[in-house]
Formats: sequence, structure tokens, C-alpha cells
Amino acid sequence: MRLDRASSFLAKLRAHSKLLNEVALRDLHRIETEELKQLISSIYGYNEEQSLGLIHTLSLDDPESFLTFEPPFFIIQSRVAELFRWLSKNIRLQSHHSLNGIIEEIKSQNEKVIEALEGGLEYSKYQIESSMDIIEYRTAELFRISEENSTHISGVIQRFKEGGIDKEKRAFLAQILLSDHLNPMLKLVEPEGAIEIVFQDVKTSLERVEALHAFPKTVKENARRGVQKQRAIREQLQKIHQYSFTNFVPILQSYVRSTSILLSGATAGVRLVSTYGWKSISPLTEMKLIRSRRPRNILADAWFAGYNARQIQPARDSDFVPGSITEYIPTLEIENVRPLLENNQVDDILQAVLDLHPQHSLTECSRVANDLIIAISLREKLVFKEQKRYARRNEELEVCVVEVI
Amino acid sequence: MLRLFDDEGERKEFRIAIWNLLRGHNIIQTDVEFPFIQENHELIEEYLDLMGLSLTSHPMGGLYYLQKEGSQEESRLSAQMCLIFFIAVQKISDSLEDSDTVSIFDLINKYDGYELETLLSLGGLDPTQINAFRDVNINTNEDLEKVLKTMTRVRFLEKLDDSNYRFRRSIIRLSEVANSLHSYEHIQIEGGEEE
Repeated sequence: MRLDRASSFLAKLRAHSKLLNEVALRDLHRIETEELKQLISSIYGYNEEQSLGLIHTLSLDDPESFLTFEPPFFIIQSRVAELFRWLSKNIRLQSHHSLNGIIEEIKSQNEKVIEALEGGLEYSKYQIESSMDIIEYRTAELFRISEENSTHISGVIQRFKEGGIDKEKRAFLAQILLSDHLNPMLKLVEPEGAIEIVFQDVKTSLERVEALHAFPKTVKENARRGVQKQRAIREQLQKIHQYSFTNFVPILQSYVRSTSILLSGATAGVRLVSTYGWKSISPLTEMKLIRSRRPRNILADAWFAGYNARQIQPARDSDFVPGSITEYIPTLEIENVRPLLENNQVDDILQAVLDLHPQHSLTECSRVANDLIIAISLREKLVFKEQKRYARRNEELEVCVVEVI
Repeated sequence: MLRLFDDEGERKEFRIAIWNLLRGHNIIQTDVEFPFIQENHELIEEYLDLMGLSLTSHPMGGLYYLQKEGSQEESRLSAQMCLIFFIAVQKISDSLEDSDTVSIFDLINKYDGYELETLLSLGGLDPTQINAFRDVNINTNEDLEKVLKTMTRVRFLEKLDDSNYRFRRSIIRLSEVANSLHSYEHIQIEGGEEE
């Protein structure tokens, strides 16, 4: 029986596929009566009477109706429209009318559940099972359509940014997206919106089903699962619409209003660089920006002098320093003052060393004089006399005069 | 012949003005060097001409900068700056209320500036903007900050205490590049499709 219904439906679908496809691809999959008659005439070559006959056939519930008359339009059954759109790879945005239709269906099925719960229907268990199935299917569909709409709008905005669409057409499309999709859809998911209200009602009904002992376990289990699924989908729906509203609305609004030359130029610049690279865009390559000249590149002579000074190691007396302005003075050794050893009549040894080596420091002369005194004391007699002050350059020393006898 | 400045104060002003122009600074009316350059425009022009550089006074007035004749110096850097400006214009435009349009005067007169580092952060850009940035070697947020710093140094931008950037009058130069690209906006690019 069921198979017969399906075959009959598909045969009818196939027979009138051209007409149904034309209507399905129209906005909101609907067509005015006169226009439908003209379409039938152009496809089948029918006169008015035959056209009306075909419209009547397609509107009959035998086995399912394809067309519904909602003055002044004939609307194609939404699932048939979806099928044709899917087959034609022309899945476009579904407006809030489609979503409203789905919400209405969920609402209607929920009312049937309530009626069954209150004993108003004869086969309440079967009615509830059937309604729960439809609610679940339509809820999933609501989510799918919302997600596809969001992706589609994102793609349209990307194409707007890439350019190539006439400014007026772009403003028109942006306005349609705002007025027919984003704004009404946000209203649907608002706390007092249609989706929220119908979901809340469904939740209450399903919880009642779950709580009633009169129903079999499987029905109660389905009701519990239905509540869980609906909660998850409700959150995701809110997320999708909130995301669409915050991200897409400001951008679309900027396309609706008259665009400034600055913005359109900037958009063109970004698009061209992204596509061809900046080297191909003459206004960019022709912009002359001079390289910064820095005063730090001018090097002062004083700096070089300072550099030399840092490189010179602190000189020791014994080191030979090439280029040094001070004369080389070798370290004083006892050998240098040995002639004094041969002279036994020195009345002031330190003074004699100082006289013998006028270029050496007082410290240096004093050190070698001490060595000499030790050497002389081994074989000669020394006499220590009065204290005397010695000075050379910045050095001073006060010691006893030592005389060799 | 070049006239010499007698006053030490004037000599100092001359030195500052010349060096800052040589550093690539875009000097606008609110800058300290501006009145001196305006007053001694011909002298400075003559002086720089000897060095093969030309002092440019923007046709709209209130802006001086240097140009080197017949030379394309820092072309990649100028492309980076233009791209940053273009994308900033797009992002600022996206954030405006309905019926407002973005203009160069709005950008300059926004005294509290814009959070450019956040606004242009690579994570928040669309694929077209990211591709454009990549083409001019801006691959990370650090690269972006580096160019913003250079734009601040050459005085296209001013960094405020709260890390916001304010556009200076000198961005007229960048907006002129955008305006010259305006006519390209509706040109169909290969692979693009109309809705």
C-alpha cells in the first residue's frame, strides 16, 4: 500500500518535473496563478482550461499534493522544492518564511501531542510517536537551514569584498540579506521569539510524556531523548544566529549605505594586491617614500681617537710601546749601579743612585739602593747617619743617609 | 647663494628641520618644525636641491615631506603602509553605525585614535586581507607591529598613551593612493563570480 503511494507520487513528480523545477527555484518557491498558467502553457502548450485542470491535479491529495493555494500564490510543497533545489545544485538562502513554516509545523505537531495527552485522540500512543518523529526531524532541519544560511551569507560577503559586483546590485543584495534573513531570524531566536516559545512548549509536552506511566518505555525514552536533542539544538541555533548577527550585520550595513571613494579604493587595493601582488599595482609602486638618512652615519674624528685610546693597553715600564711618546726606561737592576760598589768612599748611597739614574723614579732608585746596601754590607762597613728627605718628581722619601766607609 | 642664519636659535631650528626631513618624517601643521619650514621654504628647498632631494609641499597644504627625484626608495615599505591603511579603512568602516561613511577627515579627527594592533590582528582578518598582507611580507602580528612602529616614526601615525594609534594629517598621501584605486573597484578579477 505504502509502496503504491510512493510509486504514484514519484510518477507524478517525474511527469511534471519541468514545471515543478521551475516553481521550486523561484523565490519562496511560489508563483502567482496567472504566471503559473503561462508557465504551463509554455511547457505543455495547454490552453487555459487544460492548465486549470493540471493545477487541480497537482493540488489534489492523491497521494500527496504538490501545490497549495495561498492567495494570490500557489506554493510548492517545501520538501519537493528542497529536492529540486538540491538536484539543481542551487541551494540558496532560505528566508525566515521557510523557518517560520517549520516552526509552525513543530507547533502543530506539539498541539497534537497535547491533544493526545488530554485524551482527545483515539490512538494517542501512535499519534504521540508520529508527532515526536516529525518534531525531531523538523528541529534538525531548522538547525541545518540556519547553518547553511550562515555559510551562504558568509560566502556572499566574501564575494562582496573580492569585488566584481556592481555597487548598486551589491547594496540591493545586502539589503535583502538584512531585511529578509538576518533581522527576522534574530527575532525568531530572541527570548520571546517564536523558536523559543515553541521549543518551550514542546519541552513541556515531552516532559509530560516522559512522566506518564501509561505509555510504554520506548515512547518515554524517545521523549527524554527528544528533550535532550532539542536543548542542544536550541543552544546551537542561538549561537549561529548570534554569530551571524554580530559578524555580518555591520559589514552588510556598510554595503547598504553609500560607499565613500576612500573605502571603495581601499577595498580595491586589498583585492588587487591579494590577487596580483603589490608589484603589479602601479599606484602602490609609484608611491615614493625616501629611505631614512640618519645622522649617526657621520663618524666623528674624536670617536676614532677615542677608539685608539681604548685599544692601547696600560703600559708597564719594561714594555716597549710602539708609537708611545714616553721614552723607554729599562727597569733598574743592581748591575746598573755596580760601579758604586767599587767606590768605597760614597757618602750617600741613595743620592748616588739618584744622581747616576736621573730618569728613574724615586721608588725604583730606592729599591735598587737597598739591594746595593745589602751587597756592600757583606764586605764593607756602613754608617747610618742623620735623616734626610729625598724627592723626585711627585715622590718623596725620608730615610737615614747611609755612608760607605 | 644660500643665506646664512645669524641667530643660533634659527640655526638650531634649521638643523632639526633638515635632519627630520632626511629621516623621512612627514611634517604637519602641529609639528614644531612646521612654522620654520613654512617661513624658510625657499631656502630649505634650495639647500636640499643641492643634495638631489626635493622638499614637497602637499597640494592640500599643511604637510611637508622629502622626495628623491627618479628614485623608488623603500617601495616595499610604502606598499606595507598602504595595505595597513587600506585594511584599517575597511575594518573601521565595518564597525561604523548604519548610514555613516568613513572619510579621511573622520580618521584624522578621531582624537582618541584606533586600536590598530587589535583591529588589524591577523587572526581577525578575512582571507583576502590576509593574502594581501602576506604579499607585502606581513606574516605575523610582530611584522604588523614593526610596520606600525615605522609608520609612527615617519609620522603617519601617532601612538597615544593608551597604545591606540591616531591617524595624522600626513595619511592624505596614503588616501590618495586609495582614491586612485577607486576606479578599479568593479573590475572583474579572474575567477571572480557575480552573485
